[in-house]
Amino acid sequence: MNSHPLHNPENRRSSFTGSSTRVDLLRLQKSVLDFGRQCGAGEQNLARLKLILEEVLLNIGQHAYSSEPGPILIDASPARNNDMRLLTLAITDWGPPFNPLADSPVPNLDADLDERPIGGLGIHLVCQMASSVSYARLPEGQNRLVLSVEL
Amino acid sequence: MKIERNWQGSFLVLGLTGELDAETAPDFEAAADKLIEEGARFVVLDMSKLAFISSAGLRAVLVLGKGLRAVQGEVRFAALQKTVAEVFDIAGFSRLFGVFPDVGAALAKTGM
Repeated sequence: MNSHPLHNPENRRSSFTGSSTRVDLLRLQKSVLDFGRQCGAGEQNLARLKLILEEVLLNIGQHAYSSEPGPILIDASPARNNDMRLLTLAITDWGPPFNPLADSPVPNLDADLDERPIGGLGIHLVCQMASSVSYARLPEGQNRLVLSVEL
Repeated sequence: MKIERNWQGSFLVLGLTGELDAETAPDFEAAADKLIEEGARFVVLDMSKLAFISSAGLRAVLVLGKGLRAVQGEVRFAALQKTVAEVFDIAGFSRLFGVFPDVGAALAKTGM
């Protein structure tokens, strides 16, 4: 049996902070990906995690902090749901209320090339690739997106 | 991301290496615009060395597809890796575009 403390998932909870500047968003994405790798995520799930982080973080940069950069907090913790190993991410920003799950139009995936709008796929991809996604506006004035990704 | 150009008759095969994400998509869009300006009409994207695509990357290839359609051209996709194929499926791009197991199959299908 392996007794290294990092092999106990409960010891691997971790927090990451940064601002919504482009440089910081990339750094945050990389830090969480490294954490996912340490938690044992496979290549396919790392690619999903990377995509989810890109979409969610860019979304925060565009909607929560469109005029000037602001802070972002990511709490990451491994979890288990029956036999499935998950990484749960709670992503918090201090911008005006914005629920990406409700305020993003549902894309028409059957539209012809001429009718297909440019963009609008980010949140759809997040919802399909994450095991669960939920949004809450906190009483203290933050947006919090909580999502679970398979490891 | 690296883009290799390879003309095969009237077909332009673009080999993509790396990742097509928010960082690299603007460069791809600029390169694609230039290729259409220079006369490319039928383009096959060889995705065998593309490890990752995000919605910014999807947007870029959609812009290319629309741009080619506007000049009676077409884009096709070949040799998608598993992670990229999953994104294509979820976004409905596998139905929107011709997706082929390899470049040869993409070139061989008639109508291009």
